[in-house]
This record gives sequence, structure tokens and C-alpha cells, in this order.
Amino acid sequence: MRKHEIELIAALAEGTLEDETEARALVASSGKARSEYEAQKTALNALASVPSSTLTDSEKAALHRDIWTQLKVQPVATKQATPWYFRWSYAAAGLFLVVGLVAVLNTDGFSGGDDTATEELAATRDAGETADTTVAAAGGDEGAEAPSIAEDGASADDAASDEPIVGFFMREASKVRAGQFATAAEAGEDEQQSVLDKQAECLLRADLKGYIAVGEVSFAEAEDFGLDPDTSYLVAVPTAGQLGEDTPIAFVEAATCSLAHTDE
Amino acid sequence: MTKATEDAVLLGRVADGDHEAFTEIMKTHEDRVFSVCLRILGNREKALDATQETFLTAFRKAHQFEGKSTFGTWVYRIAVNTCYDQLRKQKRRPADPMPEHLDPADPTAHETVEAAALRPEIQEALASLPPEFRTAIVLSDIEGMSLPDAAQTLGVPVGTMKSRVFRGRRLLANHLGNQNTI
Repeated sequence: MRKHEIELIAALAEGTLEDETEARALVASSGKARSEYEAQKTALNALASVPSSTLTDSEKAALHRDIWTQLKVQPVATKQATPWYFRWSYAAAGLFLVVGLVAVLNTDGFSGGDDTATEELAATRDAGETADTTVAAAGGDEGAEAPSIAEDGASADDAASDEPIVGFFMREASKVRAGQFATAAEAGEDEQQSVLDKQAECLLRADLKGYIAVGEVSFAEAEDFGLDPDTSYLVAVPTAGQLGEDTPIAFVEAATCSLAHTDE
Repeated sequence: MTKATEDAVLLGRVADGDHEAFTEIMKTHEDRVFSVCLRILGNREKALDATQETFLTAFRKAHQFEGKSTFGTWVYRIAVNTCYDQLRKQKRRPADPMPEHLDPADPTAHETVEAAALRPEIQEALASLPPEFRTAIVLSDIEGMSLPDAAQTLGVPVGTMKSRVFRGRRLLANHLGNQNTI
């Protein structure tokens, strides 16, 4: 059933159409349309009987009391997203230290200074990379490189070992590369600027600068892989360049805006 | 002054540490936040917890509210995410349904709770829906939000929202066994 037909049937069931002629004809034209209409109507009738729910006076009092108690115990912690330069500052500080050390060793005329410093430099680099969970891929161009994994402390190895989800992302990435996803802009009238803004904001929070969301992976698609149906993912591609075999496709968890996976 | 402007002004005061302003905001939105949580979680105690968590989060993040959407949309989005978190925790650690404690000193409590109770078959049918579809139906068909507002609350395109509502209703009807066909 086409999108337009689905919308007609839904609107007919809701009773929001000014002119019902086309919708009525559609419903009369096939058994499937008729059964969809009846299902919509059944659900709407059932939902119309759902009463409004409010808090009782005592619940309201308890809610206010508990909130203020908690806010007194744990005063407002204005936790802000760590800026990128802050995350890199550890690596920069380490590098600075090592460069300084090398300079000092050279000045003091240590004969074996170079080897020692090189080893220390390597060790510091290792430590820096371990500490920084958002190390971008090396050799990037146009600022469109994807961080290797989300900022939740999970390593790329953890993600790679998670077979179903990686398989799921790989399949979705192939679809994107094959041009089967419409970009939000192409989707037209239904897209709202606010949604686009939200998606863009979400991608920025996931450190995906230079990327654009091209769609969202729906529950039904995730379910095929036995994945958590609560989670949906924004699918993002670099704004620069054409889609191709080498295009990195990023998946961002929509609820938390954290990068879940990059298929490269 | 419109409600949205009022909220924005109040929120500015909250960001400056004005607790009274936050109480005002809570009074405006607490019933609807609770209602959304109750219909998503299906349990009064859990909905109360989620409501509390929602407002704590809203208070702590008040300085991040940029006014791109209405405060209502922003706070309902926090509420939905809080409910999703609870559902995930529930899935990991399934527990017996929590008993619902009513304050005996509150004479209206029983009345209010009973008035909000769903017919068991509807409660069951709603609970059977995948959370994304359930939330879409709760916002659109139960809370009466417009599709664009509901879509903005969930951070999805309107087309996705329409699809979720349509498919959610179909699943709900299937679960109800098409008993009430017209």
C-alpha cells in the first residue's frame, strides 16, 4: 500500500478529511484497504475511551518534596559536553612533556638519549590513544572523518565483536551506498526544519562534524537482526563528496546522540 | 504573553537559580508528563519515578534549553527518554509489578487513580506494542498532540511519526482482535 493511500485511510478513520470521496472509494476498492481502515477505526475507538490521568494531590506534594530534597542533596551539576580541545589536551600535554624531555636529554649530552626518548614517546602515544576514546582516523580530508566509536567508553573491538549489530549496520550501510535512502531534503514536505536541526545537533553531539543525517533505521529493520527494538539510529553520511564504496556511513543512537558504529 | 514565552521567561529564571520559577513550570506540565509516562510504562509508581526524574533532568539542564522548541516539547522529550531508560532497565532486570501506594489521608486519591485506570484489554494491548509505536500512539492519539509536535518531541521526521502511528494502531487493533469493528 502506498504512502498516500495509508495517509488517506488514517485521515478517514480520524475523521479529519474535508472531502472523503477519494478515501471512501479507496476503502471500497479493495479488501486490504477496507481491513486497514477497520483496524485504524478499531484502535481509535479503543483509544478514545482512555481516560485522562492526573496526579493525586498527595502524589503532587510528594513529587515536589522529593525533587527539592534531591536537588538539595545533589545540587545542580552543570555537566557540559567535553569540548574536543579538552579531550585532546591530554595527548597534547603528554607530547609536550616528551618533546621537552627529549630536548633536555639532548642538551645534557646523553649519548643514548634518542633511543630512550623514542621509546618513551611511543609509550606516551599508546597511553594517549587508550585514554582518548574519540581518536579520529588518521589521514583524513575535509574534516569528514568519523570517530571510531561512541564516547561511552566502549572500544572499537567491543563493537566489532558484537556480531548482530555489526551485521545490521553493514547491511544498512550498503543500502545507503546503493542510494536507497532519501536524504531529508529530498523527502520534501513532511520534513521540518526543526527535525533537521535536531538531527544536525545530534550529529554534532556525536562528534560527526561534516556529516548529514539521511534517514533513521526503523524498529522493524532492527528487529530482523534480533536487536533491541527500543533503539533507533540516525544514519549519517559525509556532506562532502559523492556516495561510493569508500564512503563512511555512521550510525548514531537517536535517543542519546552517541555514535554507535561507523561502517567504513 | 503566550504560554511558550511565559515558559521561556520562567526557564531563564530557573537557569539563574530561581526555584519558585521551576515550581511554576512543574505545576503547568506535571500532569501531562505523568500521563505520558503512565501510558508508556503502564504502572503508576514507575510513572511517578519517571516524572520525578524528568523534572530533575529538566532542572539540571535548564541552562541548555535554547528555545528552539517549546518548553513542553523539550520536557516531553526528556520524559519519553526517561521512560525508555526505565523500559530498558526493566528488560534487563524484570521485576514484579510494583504495588501502588495511595495516601490514606488524601480523600481524592482513590477517585483520581480509578478514573485514570484503563480497561484491562486496552492496557494489555498497549503494553504489547513495541515502545516506539506505543509512544507514538500515546503522544498522538491519547495526549492529542499534533503529528508535527509529536514528531518534534521524538526527534523524528513527521513521515516516520505518521508511519509509527498507523502501524501502532494496526498492531493495537490486531491485539484487540478487531472486537469493535464498525
